[in-house]
Amino acid sequence: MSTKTVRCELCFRFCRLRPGERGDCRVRYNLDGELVSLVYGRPCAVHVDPIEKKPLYHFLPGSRSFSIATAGCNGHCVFCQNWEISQANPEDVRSEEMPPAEVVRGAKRTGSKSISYTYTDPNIFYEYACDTSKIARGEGIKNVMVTAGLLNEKPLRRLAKYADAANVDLKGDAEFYRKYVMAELAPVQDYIRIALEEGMHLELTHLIVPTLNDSREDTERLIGWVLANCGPDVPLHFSRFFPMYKLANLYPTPIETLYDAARAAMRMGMRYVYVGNVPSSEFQNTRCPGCGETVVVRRGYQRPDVKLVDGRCPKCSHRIPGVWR
Amino acid sequence: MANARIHNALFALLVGLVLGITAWSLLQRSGPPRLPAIPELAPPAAKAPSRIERMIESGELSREPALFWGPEAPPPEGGGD
Repeated sequence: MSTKTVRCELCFRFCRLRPGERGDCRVRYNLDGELVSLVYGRPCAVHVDPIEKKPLYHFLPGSRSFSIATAGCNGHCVFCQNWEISQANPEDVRSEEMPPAEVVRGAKRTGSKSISYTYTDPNIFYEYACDTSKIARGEGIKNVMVTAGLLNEKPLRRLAKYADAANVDLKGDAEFYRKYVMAELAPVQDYIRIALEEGMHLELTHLIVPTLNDSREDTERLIGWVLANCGPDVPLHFSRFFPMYKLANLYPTPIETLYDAARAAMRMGMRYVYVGNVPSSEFQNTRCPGCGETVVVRRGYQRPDVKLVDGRCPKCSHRIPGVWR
Repeated sequence: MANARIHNALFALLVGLVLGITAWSLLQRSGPPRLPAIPELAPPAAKAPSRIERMIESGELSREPALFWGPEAPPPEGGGD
């Protein structure tokens, strides 16, 4: 075995790479015995999005988030909505040079209150996300990780020093991860627990895919895990699947399936449950669990009407968890 | 008579020549089989850089040192059981 073989320790895959080989994520490369990132400072997607699109509903509502992504991913969801960049080699995707300081300047220039590391997964452009987050923190801009949560504990704890919020995809049970994500569930559960421990604002997204994870038992098991490990106050988003990538022949999730899941979550004790990717969802507003008052009114990605007073319900003063300004 | 002797001598010479060439040819073929000649090798050239390495060189891909990795330990000498 060559002594120049290296082992990447960023995610659960622990890829062993000989010189000239790259990891499962496609973007970490053994350059003559040294592991390098091929995508540092080279985003392939740069947009300004409403924070609600991440989705984060309890974090700086109505604000803009400067959003970046590079090519590659360490998950391989068969239903990926961004597969053209996530399942591509960086050398095959058009990218631009944008060092960390320039990302922060872009965020400030566009009036964004946060930078989102998103579309693919910040875990695979880890060094770029870390350095950018550090500069952003110094400039008063928040950092948001939109992630599948496939990151080992040590790197996550390092990143958490600068990460203010995360939306983590919780996609299904262990079998679902093995069959449809080509990954494992346990690292995602660890990510969620550590993110909470580290004090990051956390919201969870569960994409319901027809026939694959849409049974009542699947949904209730997932809600049960969230309640037991995160508590009832973590916002939980049920997201609608649209035909894409390797599941282009599957139909979109029936809206009633999403509403059933949301009702089940409320019934089981979750306090902030939302349904996304659905126009005019009846589960898009935030209601006070104390008195039932609607405290945040949302209309798609338009600026929401936030009625909270210092993060509390204006009627009963119940504190609504989140970062509201 | 003289013509016949010259004719016989020429014939004997021709037969001798043919036999000689045949014998020489058989002798050449005997012995161990011979390998084709090895062409002279050019001095070893540096390995051609891959497409990724060319793109790193041109700045189209980054070569930022990654965090969280280590050298893969070589297998223990002497092997296991």
